[in-house]
Amino acid sequence: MSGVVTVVEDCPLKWTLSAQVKVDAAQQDSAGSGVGKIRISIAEREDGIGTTIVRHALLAKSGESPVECLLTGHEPRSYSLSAEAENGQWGTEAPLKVSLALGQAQTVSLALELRAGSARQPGAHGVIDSLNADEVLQPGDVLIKFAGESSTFTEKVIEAGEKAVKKLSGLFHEGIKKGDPTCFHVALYLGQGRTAEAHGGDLSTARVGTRTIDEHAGFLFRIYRCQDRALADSAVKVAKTWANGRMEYLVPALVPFQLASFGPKARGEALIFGQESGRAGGPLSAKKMFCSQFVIAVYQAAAVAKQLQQTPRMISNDVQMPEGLDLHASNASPLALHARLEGASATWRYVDEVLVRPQHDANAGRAILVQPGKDVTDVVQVLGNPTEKRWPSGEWIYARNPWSLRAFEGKIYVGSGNSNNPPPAANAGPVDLWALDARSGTFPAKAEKEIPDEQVDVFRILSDGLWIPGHDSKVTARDDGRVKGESKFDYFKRLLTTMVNFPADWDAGNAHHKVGSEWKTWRSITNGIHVYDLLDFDGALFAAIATVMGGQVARSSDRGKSWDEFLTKPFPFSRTRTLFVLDDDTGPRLHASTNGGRIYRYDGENPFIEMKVNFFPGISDVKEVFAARPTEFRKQVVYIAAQKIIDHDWTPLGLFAAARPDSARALPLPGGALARDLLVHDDVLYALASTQPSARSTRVHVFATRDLVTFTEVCFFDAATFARSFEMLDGDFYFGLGCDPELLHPHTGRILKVPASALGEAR
Amino acid sequence: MKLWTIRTEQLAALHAVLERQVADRAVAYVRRQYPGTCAALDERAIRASIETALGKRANHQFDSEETFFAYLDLMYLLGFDFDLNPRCEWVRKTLTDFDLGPRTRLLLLVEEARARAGPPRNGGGRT
Repeated sequence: MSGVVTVVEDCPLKWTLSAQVKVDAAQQDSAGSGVGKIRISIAEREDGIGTTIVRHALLAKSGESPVECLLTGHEPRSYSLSAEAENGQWGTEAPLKVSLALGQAQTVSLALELRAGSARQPGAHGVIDSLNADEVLQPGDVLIKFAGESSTFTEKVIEAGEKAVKKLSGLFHEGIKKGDPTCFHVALYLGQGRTAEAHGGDLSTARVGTRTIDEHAGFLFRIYRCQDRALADSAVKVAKTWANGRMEYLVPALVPFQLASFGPKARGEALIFGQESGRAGGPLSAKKMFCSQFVIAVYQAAAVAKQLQQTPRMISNDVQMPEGLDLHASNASPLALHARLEGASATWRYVDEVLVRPQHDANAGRAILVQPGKDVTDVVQVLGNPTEKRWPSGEWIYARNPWSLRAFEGKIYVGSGNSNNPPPAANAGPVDLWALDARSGTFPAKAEKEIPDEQVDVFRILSDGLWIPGHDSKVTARDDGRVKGESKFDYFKRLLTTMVNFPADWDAGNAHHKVGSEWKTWRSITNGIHVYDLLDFDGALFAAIATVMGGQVARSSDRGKSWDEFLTKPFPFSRTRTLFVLDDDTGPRLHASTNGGRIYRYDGENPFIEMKVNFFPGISDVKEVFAARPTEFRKQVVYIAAQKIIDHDWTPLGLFAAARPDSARALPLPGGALARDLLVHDDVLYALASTQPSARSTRVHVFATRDLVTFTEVCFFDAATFARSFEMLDGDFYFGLGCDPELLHPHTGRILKVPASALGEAR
Repeated sequence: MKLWTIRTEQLAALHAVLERQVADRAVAYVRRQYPGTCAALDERAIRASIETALGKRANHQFDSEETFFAYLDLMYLLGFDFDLNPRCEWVRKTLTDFDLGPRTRLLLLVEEARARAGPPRNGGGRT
C-alpha cells in the first residue's frame, strides 16, 4: 500500500475522498490475464460490519487508474478502504484507513497485489458469460472444452474415443500424451461473448456457425492464446467468413484413431484452406467439418493466406505452418490439438481455465425488460455472520448457507447446516438456530436452540406458530473436531460412530415447533429420514418426507404427536419435497411435489394420486427437479423449478406459476434473472433473484408483482456472491448470502439489511 | 436571516455565461489538438460539434471541463457520432458502464482511441 496525498481544498465545509488504483506492470504480465474491473470498498468499519460503499475502477495501460472522486461529505468521518479485482486474482494487502476532516481533499493510492496462487495455476479461476467474457478472453483464443454433467451424446462419443486413444497413444506418437482425454470440443473466440465453432449438440440443427459463450453453460474451458497477434486476428476474420452455417457438422467418431501428423496430405489441405480463406461459408470442397478441424483450418487458412500473398504460385510442399498448428486438420481430434498446443509453448500460451456459468431462467427468452430498480448497493448493511462461529472456514463454509430467513415475533430466524452425504461440509449438524433481533439489528451471544438435524432448510409459520421440518435427523452428539481438521484415527472413529448411530438417526423424523418461548421437538415420524416440508390442511398437519420406501406424506391429527404415512413416489431415493394447496372444482386440494418433476394430489386416501401434468414447461429434463418455495398467491401457486446439485441442495432453473396443476406456466423474471426465493407481503409477491454481470460479482435483485403478469424491480445491489434467501419485516429487507458447492465464498452466511428508508417509493 | 438570495433567473444567466466561456475554451482546445480536422471545418461547424458534446453530458453522465474535453477528443478521433456508430461498438461498453466514474470512462476511452488511431498524422481525426 502506498502513501496518502493530502490536498487542502478551498471549500471549508466539506471533504472529498479520491482514489487511484495501481498494479505492478511486471506482476500483471506474470499473471497471464488482465486485472479487469476493480471494486473499491469503502467500509465504515474494518470488520465489514456496518455500511460499505462500493465504487469501481479500471486500469489504464500504464497500470494506474485515473484518479476518481469516490465520496464527499460534510461531517468528519473515518473509513477503511480496500480494493479487489472482480476476477478475484488481485487485491490490496490490507485495508487502508483514512480520516476525513472538513476542508480536506484526500487522494489515496491503492496498490493491488497478485494474490498467492493466482498466477497460472490450474483450476477454474473465473466464471464467465457473454457479458464479461472479454475481460478474460481475446479474439482468436482457442477454447478447449472439458467434460461437464450435461455432455451431449456426440460429445460423449468423442470423449470415449479419445480415452481409448490416450491409452494407446504410444502406438501413435508421444505428443498426444500431453493432451487431456476429457477434452471433447474446441471453439474459436471471436470477441464480445461469441464463438465460431462446428457444433453437434443437436444433430438436426448442427452447423459450422457462431454461438454465444452462454450456450456452453456449466462447462469448463481451457484458454490457449496465439502469441502472433496478427495471425490470431486473421484467423478470427477467416472464422467469421466461414462460420455462416453453410457447412454441416461432421460427427468425428473415428477421428481420434487417425494419425494427425502434418504430412503431404495435410499440407495440401492447408494450401486449399489458404486459397479459400476469403470464401463465405468455407472451402467449396468442404461440406462438413468437426470442431477441432474447423479451428485448425481457420488458423491454417490465415497462415497460408499470408504466405500466398508473398508467393501466389506456391505449392503444398512450400507450406510453412507455425508450431501448434502443424496438424492434419481432417484427422486431428480435440485431444490431438490440445496436446499440440500444450507442447508449443513458444507460439501458444496457456492463459487460464474458466467456467461458463448458467445465470438465466430456463424461459429467459420470454422474459421482458423493465426499468431498473433502485441501486441500493451503497446502503446495504452487513449485520453479521452468525454461523461463521460454528463453521469458520474451508469446505465448512458451505454449511453456512442461509437456506431460509423467516420473520417471527420480531426476530429473523436463519437456516443453515448441510445434510448432503458427499462433501463439501458433509452431514453438518446439529444446527445452531440463530435469530436476529430485528429492532437492534444484532444477533444474541448464543444461538436460540440447537436443532438436532443436519440442516435447517425451511421455516413454516402455521396456525400455531413457527415450525421447522427436520431435514435430516442428527441425534448423535456434535463433533466439531472435524471442522477444524481431523487425524486419520479421528476420521475412522467418526465413521465408526456414524455407522453405529445412523439406525438411530433414521429411526424417526423430526418436526420442531416453537411453543411460547420454548422449542419442542416431535421425534415421531416413523422412518422419516428426511422431513422436507410441513403444512396445515383440512385441520391436520402434513409433512413431506422421504423414507427407505421412497417419497411419502405423513399426516398428524394431533399436531405432531403421532403420524399416518401415505406413499407418493415409491422406491428408495424418491423424495416428497414440498407441499402446497391449489383449488379445483371441489375446493382446496393438497398437492405434493416430488423429485422427478412429479405432482401428487391428496384425495383423503392412501396413496396420493399422481397427476399427469407438465409442471415445468420449457424444462426438458426433470429427472432431478421439484417445485421449491411453493408460495400461494392470488389463488395460484408460484414456485421455483429446483434441480438437485449434490443430494438435497438445489439450483434454480426458473420461476413458474399455476392456477391448477395442469395449467402451469413459465413466469420468467425481467431480464431472465434467476429466482431463488419468494415471499408475499401486503398482497404483493416479491421474488429474490440474481444475475451475474461479471466473473466475481453478482447482482441481487428484488422484483415485485401484484398480478403475476407484470413485474417491477424494487431494488438491486451488487455483492460478491448471490443471496439465497430473503425476508421482509417492517418494510426492511433482510438477505442471506449463499454459495454453490463448486464455488465456496467466504461471504457465505452473511446477513444483510436494506432499510425501508433506503427504498423510498421504490417499494 | 437570509444574507443573499440568488433567483433562478440569475442562476440561469450565470450558467449561460459559464457555458459560453467553456465553449470558447473548447473551441481553442480542439483547434490546438486537431488542427488538421479543424482546418476543414468552419467556425460554425466547430461550434456545432461543441454544442453536440454539451448535449451529451446528461446521457453519458459527465460534467467536469476535463471530461467534457475528453468527450470532444473522442468526437474528433472517432467521428462526431461515434456513440451511435455501430463501427465504434467497443466504445459503448465502457462509455455506458456507469459503475465507473466519468474520468475513468472518458480518459481510458481517449487512451484506447489514440492507441487505435496510431501515431498522429496531421493532428486530425475522422469526422
